[in-house]
Amino acid sequence: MTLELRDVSYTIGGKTLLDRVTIAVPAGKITIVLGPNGAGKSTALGILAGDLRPSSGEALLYGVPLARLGHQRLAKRRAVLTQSQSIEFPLTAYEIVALGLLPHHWSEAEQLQALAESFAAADVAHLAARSYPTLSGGEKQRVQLARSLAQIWRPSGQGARQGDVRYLLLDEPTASLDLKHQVSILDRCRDLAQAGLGVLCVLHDPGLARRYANFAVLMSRGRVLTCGAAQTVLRPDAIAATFDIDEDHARAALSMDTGWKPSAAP
Amino acid sequence: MMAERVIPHERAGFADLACRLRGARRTLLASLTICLGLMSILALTIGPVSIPFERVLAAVIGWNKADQTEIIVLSIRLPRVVLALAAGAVLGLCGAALQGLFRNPLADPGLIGVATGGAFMVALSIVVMSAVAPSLLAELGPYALPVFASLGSFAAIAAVYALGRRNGALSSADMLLAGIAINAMAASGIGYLTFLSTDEQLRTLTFWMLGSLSQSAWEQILPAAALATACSLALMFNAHALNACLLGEREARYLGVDVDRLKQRIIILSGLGVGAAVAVTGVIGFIGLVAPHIVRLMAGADHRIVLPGSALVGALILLIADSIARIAVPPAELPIGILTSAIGAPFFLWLLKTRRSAIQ
Amino acid sequence: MIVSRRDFIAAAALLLLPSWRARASARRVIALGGDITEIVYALGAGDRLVGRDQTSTFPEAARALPDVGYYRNLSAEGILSLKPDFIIAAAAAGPGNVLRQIEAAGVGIVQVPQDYAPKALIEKVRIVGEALGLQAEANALCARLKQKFDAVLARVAAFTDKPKAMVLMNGANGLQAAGLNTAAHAMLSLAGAQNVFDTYSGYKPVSFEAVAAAAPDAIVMMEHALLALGGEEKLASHPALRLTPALRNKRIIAREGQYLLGFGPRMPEAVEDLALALRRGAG
Repeated sequence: MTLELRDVSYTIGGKTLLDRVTIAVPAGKITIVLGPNGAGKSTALGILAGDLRPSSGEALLYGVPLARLGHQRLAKRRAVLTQSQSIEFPLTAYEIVALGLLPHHWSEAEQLQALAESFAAADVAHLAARSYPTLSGGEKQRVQLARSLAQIWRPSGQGARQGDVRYLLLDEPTASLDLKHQVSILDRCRDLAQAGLGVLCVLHDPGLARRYANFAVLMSRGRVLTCGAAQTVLRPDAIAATFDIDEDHARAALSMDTGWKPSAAP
Repeated sequence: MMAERVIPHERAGFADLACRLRGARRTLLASLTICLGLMSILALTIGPVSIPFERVLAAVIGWNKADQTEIIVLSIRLPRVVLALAAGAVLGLCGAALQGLFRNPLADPGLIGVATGGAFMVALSIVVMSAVAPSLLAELGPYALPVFASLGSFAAIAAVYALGRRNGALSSADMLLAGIAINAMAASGIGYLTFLSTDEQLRTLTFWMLGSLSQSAWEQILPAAALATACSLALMFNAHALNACLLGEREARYLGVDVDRLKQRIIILSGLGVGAAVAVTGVIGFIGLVAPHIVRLMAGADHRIVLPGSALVGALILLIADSIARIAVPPAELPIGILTSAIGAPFFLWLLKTRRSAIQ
Repeated sequence: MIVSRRDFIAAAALLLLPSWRARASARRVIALGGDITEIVYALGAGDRLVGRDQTSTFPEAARALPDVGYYRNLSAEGILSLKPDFIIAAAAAGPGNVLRQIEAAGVGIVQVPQDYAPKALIEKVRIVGEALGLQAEANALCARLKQKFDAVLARVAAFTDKPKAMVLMNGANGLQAAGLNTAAHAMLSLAGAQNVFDTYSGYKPVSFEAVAAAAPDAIVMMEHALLALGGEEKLASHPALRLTPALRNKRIIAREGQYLLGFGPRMPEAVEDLALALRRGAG
């Protein structure tokens, strides 16, 4: 039961942004996509989300092309957390998170449960009555996370029903968050994966990736350089090649022991 | 999944919040409706001819057009009240819908060229048609100006719609640019026609463009009000979709909203509704801009309150402006567009200064 | 209008019929149209007026009356609040909806056709006189006007020259010149002048260059238009205009609009005034 790109290319305005890319987002695992700017990570995520149509190749969910599923059905099965939205109207955080319930028809009690759980999971329950435009960048991002969680919520007991795998796609969610909340978002992702969801996360920090990924995809210039189990992919040589840096820096980026010691005190 | 983390009283807290928000919505809508009802009755009662309230009531209930007071109430004041309600509502609603759709607090029905398109055709009929095709004008009689205005409005909408297509979908940016272009073209057309116009034609055109609720009778008002109201009602069904749009077009699509269809619906309904109103009232500005902001100041940006609220507030503003127009300089009348601008412009400046409805 | 005068009078009479008997006691009248108001005063019925429109600026007494606005964009309730018994309106008064509302409210409206000839003025006086129940006074006024016209037209015919002239007024931006089928053209013809702009109908925007190229012997302007322009000095300072016969002989004739083009009871005086000014520069 996978959300996947099979041999997808994407060309727009004469520029090829993706070149025969294959990415799979398996259920119950965290897949992390890493790469420098312009690698095509966001484009790949856009196609996985069903927003962009591939120029060639297929984007599939349970083997069905996304275009055939349609926006409504997709919305019930996957949520996308994009980088930032500027909302200039005075909505409360509560109203924003409640938008996540739009694709569904839950009962009143179920809706309240969904909202309560989503707010708690994103740790923004105390902000519910606040006006969204007045929140800090990090708080806004967490409110958006709560909204995404509400979108893919299911009543307890329905958990991972056969065929009802849900997906969460996150595009650089850790930007504008302090360390505590960066870690907490990824902890939530881990919980979700353990509950059976498929999680895809675009990150720019190899260290964080190494700690949370089950699978990793390294991209550069519209191509997938390597993909596979995190331990095999997230190695200094691969990182160095992807980001065009030397291996020492790659090792440091991965937060591995570099053999560096502070100079002896005088 | 995450059920273990939720403490029962947290859920109660959200139930409470939900209740409060819903209660606030209902209270506001109820109060606005009551205000509107009272204002409508007041508008029927006041005027240059003083008619005691009991006679107004008797006239409306009896529906007898026997003596002069009854005719004044039923054939002169009542059509104006109905028109003010229908036109004010559709202008307020379209303003709210366009602001939500384009995510721009400065959007206004004028953006899509409806009013200027109508004004251009009216200028054409006043300045050129009377010389070129006087028989056509004579045949249309009192329907001449409304028909021409409608043609102009609908042409403008069709142009915005056609020009806004990009790669098979409607692009908001392209529609806004198309609206600007059409406004500019229509304005230059109107400028040229005023250049050609005689003194009398110019005055007639100017009065039309300043707006008035008194130049039409039941025969023109009823169809226009019916069309405008139908469009208003249809627009109100888009509250949830517009809420999703506030997050951004892409995010709305991720939530399952068919954004392209939504744009089509809103543009067409706005064009038809505002076109119908403008055809009979002339150009009345500021209501579409200001009514949604007033509602947001009072109750937040949820379209479930902003859409119906803007309709009610728009109708209220127009009704108040019309009443002032009638009693300010008797026995003459002030053009209503002047009043809505005179009220709207300072209010808008005040809004900008405090920026309470915009960002922080 | 493609309706003969007789048909129109018949229609007007039909309109008047129901309220005919009330004519004598019908004291309160509203006049819409500058020429209509002038005629009412000329018939001695000025004290019966309870309201007038924006263009009714003569005589001075009329200005004191309540102003119901521009006669082509009326509103019903304001007019009704003056409690008129009936209304005498220029043919172009409107909009039709408002007139119908007023009639439905029981206030009769007599519409007076407007045309560009001395006969038209006589007709107007007759119709207004009938509406007011002052036929005798109307006949007397008509006779006086006919007499004056005969005298003036004879005097004009005696002139041997036919000065080339034009009538200029303010358009939306800049000047407009009157062509055929306008009140201005009719006045020029009556005054024995030749309208240099006789190739088109109605009003057209005109530039100073075009005015100069026409080499007019005299230029007739609306008073407020000349004022807005900056006075005769402004015209005199224009390089092309300065050389025209009109400027050299100082034949710039400025007159008030209603007086010159209103085709009211002052028309015979206006024609004579114009005829003389065109030839002697009594500007």
